[in-house]
Amino acid sequence: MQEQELHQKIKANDPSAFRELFEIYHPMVLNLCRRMLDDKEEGEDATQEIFINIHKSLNNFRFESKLSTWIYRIAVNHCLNKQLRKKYQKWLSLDFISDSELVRNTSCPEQPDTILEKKEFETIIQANINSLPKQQRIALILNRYEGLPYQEIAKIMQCSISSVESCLYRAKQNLCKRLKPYLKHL
Amino acid sequence: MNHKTIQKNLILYVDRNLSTSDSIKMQEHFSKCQSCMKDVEKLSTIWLNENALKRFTPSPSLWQKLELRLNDVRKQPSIFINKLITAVRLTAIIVILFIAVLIGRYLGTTSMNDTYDAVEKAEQEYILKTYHLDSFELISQESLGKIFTLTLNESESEIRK
Repeated sequence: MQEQELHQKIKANDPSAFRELFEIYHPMVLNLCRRMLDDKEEGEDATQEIFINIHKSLNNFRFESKLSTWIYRIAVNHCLNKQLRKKYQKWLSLDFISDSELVRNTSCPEQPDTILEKKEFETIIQANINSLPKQQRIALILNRYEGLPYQEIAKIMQCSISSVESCLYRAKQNLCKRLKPYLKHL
Repeated sequence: MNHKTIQKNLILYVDRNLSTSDSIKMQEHFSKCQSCMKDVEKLSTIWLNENALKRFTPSPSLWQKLELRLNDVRKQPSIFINKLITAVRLTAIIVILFIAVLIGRYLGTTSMNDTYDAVEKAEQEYILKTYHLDSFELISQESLGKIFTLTLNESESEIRK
């Protein structure tokens, strides 16, 4: 109902429509950005950029899909681009050397006696999800943290439902492999 | 299912993504393997922890920040004007390159002609001085070829004789 009203307001070029759209969808966009970029400031920055993009292309939206699906697609693509840019910048500034050391340290805890807390383990899960291959990462974040059904994930990722299922299956298997060394420390 | 596959499928088991037959196989393994049992217990407490799935709260000033940025964006020229500017820039670069090539070609040909003329003049002066001539006519390359074939024919006929 809320989405239909918003549709009509956007179609009628109502100036208050964008504010309303922001109020409804910014928590979900922010949540996705925080999960995908793993940083508070970067997440908020990306949220603003995504809404600027939405503002620019709102007139081009043809109402062929759900507004939330369209927004999710923009957000996912924006976060992926941001991650890619970050990766290139790290390579250019030779930061990847220190980064690889960091990954090594987190991926294999050296002290066997250390006991991880649940909170720490969740950050480890988050870091490991972000190190998964692109498609698996998106599917898992949208499913686990956004609670979206396979059908909607398929629309956002522009693929079939069965490929979303296989992506999630492989993502969970990969994650299990990566989390195995940490389970001893819990 | 062996120990390795069980370890790989722990999250799938916790999330109930496995078929009933696979789940039964997993449970049978857990009853025999203590380490797998412990792992699945630990993982289920972490993986299904609701606090971890908690949504982030956005900062209250997010809309104000966005509004400021939107105002900046509105001040910027529209997408059409931006595209027009890039198109004009591109055409300007192409025109400049074309003009540069034309100038280069013009300078190249004129300077080459000048140097050929200068070399020819110097050669003529050298011939006039060394052979004490008032004037002479240059023989074209075609007539040089004819002279060469004539002398060759003459020498051949002499040899035959």
